[in-house]
Amino acid sequence: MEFLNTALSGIKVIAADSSFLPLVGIDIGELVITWANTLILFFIFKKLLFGRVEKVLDKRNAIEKERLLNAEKAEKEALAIKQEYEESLASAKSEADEIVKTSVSKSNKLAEEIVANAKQKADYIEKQAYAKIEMEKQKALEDLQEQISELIVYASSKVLEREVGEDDNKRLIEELLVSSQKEK
Amino acid sequence: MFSIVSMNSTIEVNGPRIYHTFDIFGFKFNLTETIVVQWVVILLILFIILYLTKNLKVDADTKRQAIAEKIVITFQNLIKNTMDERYSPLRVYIATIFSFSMISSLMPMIGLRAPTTNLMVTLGWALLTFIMIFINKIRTGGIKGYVASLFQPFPVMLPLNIIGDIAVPVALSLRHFANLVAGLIISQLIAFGLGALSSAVGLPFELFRIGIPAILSLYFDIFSAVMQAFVFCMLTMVYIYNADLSAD
Repeated sequence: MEFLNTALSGIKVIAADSSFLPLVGIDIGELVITWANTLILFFIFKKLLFGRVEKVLDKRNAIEKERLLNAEKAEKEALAIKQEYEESLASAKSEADEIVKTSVSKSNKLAEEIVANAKQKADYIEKQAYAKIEMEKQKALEDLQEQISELIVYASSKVLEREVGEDDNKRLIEELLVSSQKEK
Repeated sequence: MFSIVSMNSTIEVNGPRIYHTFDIFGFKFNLTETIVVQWVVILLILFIILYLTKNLKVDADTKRQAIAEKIVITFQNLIKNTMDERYSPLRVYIATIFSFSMISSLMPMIGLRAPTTNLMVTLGWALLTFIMIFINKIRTGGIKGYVASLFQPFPVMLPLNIIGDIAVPVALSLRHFANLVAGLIISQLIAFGLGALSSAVGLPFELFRIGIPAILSLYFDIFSAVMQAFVFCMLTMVYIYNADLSAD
């Protein structure tokens, strides 16, 4: 250490004062106390600074991780919901198409049926009307025949009452026809 | 005590003042300025830490907590970048040494003698580094690997390897100590010189000693305090990291 002393002193080295340690020297007591102090400070740093702050940092990291995971999960869920929605939309569209189709065909069928029914009914009514007309006609004819036969009976009785010639007969019948018409 | 004697005044550069000497079973224990100032430093750091870590919350909203987190993360990253993840348990030790060294060296700012101007302090830390280097060598290479590494690359190199190992704590401690002592001596020389200049100019009192030394101490105290603490920690980390025998 002498070279250091000489180098530092510059001009003159005075004998060491007893109340000071030498500038460069070995003192085991100071060395041990330095170690002890360093150990104390180490535990202060470990317990009070690093222990506490790192706990908070870890907690925050965990929370952030969880948040990130949650966000990812939410995104996935949203995507799934979107897909589901799209699928249901597509199926709803096809369903609607089908409904429209079936309803159109149904209504067409119904309309056809209605028309057919109406036709049938009309036919029926027509037929009935014809039948009635025919019946009336028949009745009229029957009436006519009845009257004609009555007339013939009447005419023949008249013929039998008198002996007349052919011309007379003819005239008589004609007269009868006229009179019967007048009667009518 | 060293004295620089000029024409009519003396500068004294001493070791730490001894307050009391205890005699413990024949062992002389000196309660020195160094030890007391170390306690002051520890208390100061304790108060700073307690202040910074008051009311820590997960949802941080105070500047205090931001600073505390910044300090912790800085040391985590320092270890990660200088060494690697495996050495992350060292972060607390590095933070301790860095803070202890830096705040100790800054003590002249409040008029106390820096404990780092005592070789025993820096030697103590350097010996801790030396022990850690040794432990890392044994841990990674085993005792066999460590002994074998002393004979690398040739058996003739054994004495040089041993000297090289021992040189690490010596160099570390002397570098740190000498830088701080140099600062101390230069500060005193400047104060002395400015006092002499004041009287030479004819001022009734030493006017130049007011203010000017404070500006100069910005470099000699603050800059070298931070620098030396950083250098010491960096070298400690690099030495321990390079002591990984399994990497070869």
